[in-house]
Amino acid sequence: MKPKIILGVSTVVMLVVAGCSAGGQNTSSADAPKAEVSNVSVDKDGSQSKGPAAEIAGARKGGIITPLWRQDQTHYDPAQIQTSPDGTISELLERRLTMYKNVDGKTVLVGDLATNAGETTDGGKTWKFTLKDGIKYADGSPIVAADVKYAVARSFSTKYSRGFPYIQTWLAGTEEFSKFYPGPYEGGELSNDKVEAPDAKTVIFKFPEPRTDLPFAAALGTTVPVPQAKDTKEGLDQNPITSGPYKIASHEVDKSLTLVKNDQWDPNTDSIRHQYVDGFTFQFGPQIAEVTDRLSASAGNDKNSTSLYAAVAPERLDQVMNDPKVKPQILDQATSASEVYSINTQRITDLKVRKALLVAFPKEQARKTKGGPYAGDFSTTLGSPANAGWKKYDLPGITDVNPMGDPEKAKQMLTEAGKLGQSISLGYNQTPAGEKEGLAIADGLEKAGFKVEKIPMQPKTFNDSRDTVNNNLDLYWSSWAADWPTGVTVYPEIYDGRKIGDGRPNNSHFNDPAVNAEIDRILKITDITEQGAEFMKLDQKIMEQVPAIPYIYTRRQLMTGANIGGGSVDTHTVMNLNNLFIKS
Amino acid sequence: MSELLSTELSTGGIVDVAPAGSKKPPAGRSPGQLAWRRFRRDKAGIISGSVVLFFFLVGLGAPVISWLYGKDPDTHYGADRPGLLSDTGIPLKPNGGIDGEFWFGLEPKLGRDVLMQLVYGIRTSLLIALVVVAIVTALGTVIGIAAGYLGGKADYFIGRLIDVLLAIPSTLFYLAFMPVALALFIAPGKEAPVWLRSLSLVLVLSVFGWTRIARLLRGQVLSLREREFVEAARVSGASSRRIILKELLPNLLTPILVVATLDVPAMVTTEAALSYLGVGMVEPTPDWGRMIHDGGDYLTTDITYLTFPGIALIIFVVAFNLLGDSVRDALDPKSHR
Repeated sequence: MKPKIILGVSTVVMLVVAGCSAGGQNTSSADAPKAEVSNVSVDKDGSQSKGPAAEIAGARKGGIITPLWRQDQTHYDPAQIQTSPDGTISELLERRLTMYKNVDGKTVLVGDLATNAGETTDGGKTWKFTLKDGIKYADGSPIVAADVKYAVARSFSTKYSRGFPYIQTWLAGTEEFSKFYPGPYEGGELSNDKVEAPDAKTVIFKFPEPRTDLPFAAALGTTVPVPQAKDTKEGLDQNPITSGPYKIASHEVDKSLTLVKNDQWDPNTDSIRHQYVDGFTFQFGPQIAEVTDRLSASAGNDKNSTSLYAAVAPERLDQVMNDPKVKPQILDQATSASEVYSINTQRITDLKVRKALLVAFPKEQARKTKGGPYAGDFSTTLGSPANAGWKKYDLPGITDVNPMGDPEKAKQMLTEAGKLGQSISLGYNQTPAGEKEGLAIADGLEKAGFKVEKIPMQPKTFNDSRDTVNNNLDLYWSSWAADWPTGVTVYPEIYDGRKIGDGRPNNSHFNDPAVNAEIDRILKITDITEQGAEFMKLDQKIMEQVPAIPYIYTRRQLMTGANIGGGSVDTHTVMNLNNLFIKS
Repeated sequence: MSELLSTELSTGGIVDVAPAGSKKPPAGRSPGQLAWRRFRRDKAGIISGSVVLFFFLVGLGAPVISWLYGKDPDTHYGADRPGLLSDTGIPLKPNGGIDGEFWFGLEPKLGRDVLMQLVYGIRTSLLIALVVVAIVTALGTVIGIAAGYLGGKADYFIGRLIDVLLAIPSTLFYLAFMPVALALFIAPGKEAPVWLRSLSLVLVLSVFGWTRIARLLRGQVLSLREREFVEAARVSGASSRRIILKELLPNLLTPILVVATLDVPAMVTTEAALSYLGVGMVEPTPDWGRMIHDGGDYLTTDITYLTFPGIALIIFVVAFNLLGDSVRDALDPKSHR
């Protein structure tokens, strides 16, 4: 009996000792990256578009990098790509008219296939791009202007319009651009009145209205050239026609993607990308906790791995950010995304109730479930500081709310409005983290006198369910990152009341005719700085009606393996693949 | 006749021989009393029985503990009061924030009291497990005895039913079935009430849980019904109902009790596993399995949070299994030596 007792007691003691842990640590304010106020410039004269790209200090050639990400790309055809990590991989493989270059923390829009970021002499109605010399596809054939025109024409077809619709909409002058021109398969060649390729090196865009943002739109997948003779239609979604420093060697759907060097890529024509490593092997599947753990340990081949888009898991932040060995592997960056909690203004019609929601909302407690300050700073505006022209404004009673929530004041506001006990259907993402965030918010709102119904939503269909007009919800999380750093892709998409519909991003269903008219007016302004300032005034005007509760300017922590150098974050807040190298 | 069988069972050293020269004649003892005496002598049984009893008291007396301790499982102490949790939600004090106010520490992120969460989580899991075991035992007993005694077609169909139920993967079924069923009964935009969730959980666990005891009892009845005392009863004109109730059932009490005792920890762990997967009891109902799932995220940053529900579950399951073994030894000492 005695050995048994000893065994039993020592087991219990061991278990208890194993359960001891050190306490948590607060983040030091020195750690926080500054909220990035927009610092994007446009390379109009082409001085920054000339290759080769500047060498990265310490870079050496050779090795294979293994990026880890939880899912395969949804599309490989650049005309159909909309999401951030897909965009980054596509920008490595396929060159387009313009692209973003990160230099010393500044972002410049430069010419990629073009010699500069586009020239206009009539205030933005006509844009001319001149292609560089010596640009070729991965099979060695030269890239010509007709291929760019064909790619743009192809994106009009309803089959391939799942990507960004900006250039097509602007050319057609209507959102129903497929009715205007059905694409080259049914409608012949796109008229020269819209896009002209007078010679092999010139592409001219002709818009009915001035479009000062065209250089930014030209960085999207719509302008990736496609030679008409090699258009395999649906086949391009498995085997796109590439021109970047790497090409696809093999692809196992949902498992892996192997890229090898493209020897037809001429570094002297490319001011953005490098070709340091011999190739990339993407691994699809690992979830964020696994990615964080593997890269922290950096054992075996994991030291040559990197996260692509997976942020550091919030539960690991305390350990990872305070570990001096792992900390250098982390890139802590403010993103261009702005998170809000949208209020369904079609159901919560009383402005006083919306203001009470704003006052009661417990931002601090909710953010703590996402990683605290590492998730980002609290926001007071609807748009992100990354948009051109962003400026903080003060709206008393709205922008100066207590981040911990003020339940007493909110209860008083509700009682005055006669709406004490107002029912709020809070939609939350049914993941363990989402549940906790939902609980924190419900707790704060209930203290303020609301009656909260927590409605779980499936993660896979969260966006679709939320963006239905009859979503039967009152309050839900919403995040928006501008497709390029101006307000043009923000306010006209999210707060234009004429754009309410299933699947559309105006999920607060906000509709104010005065605001709609303002949006039209501001879109016509040609000077980017002036337009940015006007958008900021619009932000304030919209915020007076509280269609949403500003939550966080998103910050993201990306990790590389211990042996990776040259890590930086690109404009989509994805790991920038253009500068990576293996240290040893 | 049934007495004959019980004495067969109880020949394991209970003869109460009065020492020579004592005045009292040996007292007759019923099988129950004999079993209890045997149980009392089994040290492991007493210890594990006390541990199990302790868990039941904790679970059922959770509101009392909450009243004495002065806290409840729902308040977000750490989130509402600055200085308890770090910026990223980890308790600032070492060992998960254990101090004089929070005896077991604080939950990361939301800052709820771990002792209260654990006590109420045990309560949730125990209550559900007990209800399920009660249903399952009753259902399984009836079906098992019917199958064994009636034989023929009834036995055949019940046997096939059991095969089908055992072939269906119950966890996957529950994962698929729960959202659909809840959508049927809940108005859109409203939360699923706790009673509905626990009712569906109990239903699914019961539907898949009775097969074990039914099979066991069927086997026992098959062997029992050929025994002489059953034949004698049948010959002397006893009805089926009388035979089942008076002859068979008392002899089946042993396996029923043993299986029921071993079923409770099995149901607790199954319910915990379902909550771990996210399809059992959801927030904000405190749940043992969900605590363990959440604790897994903090292995490197706050392992103390995991140790409390984890060790509690280990002790509970080990104790209950030892108790089951002791009960079986007490009731039927010849059974497995």
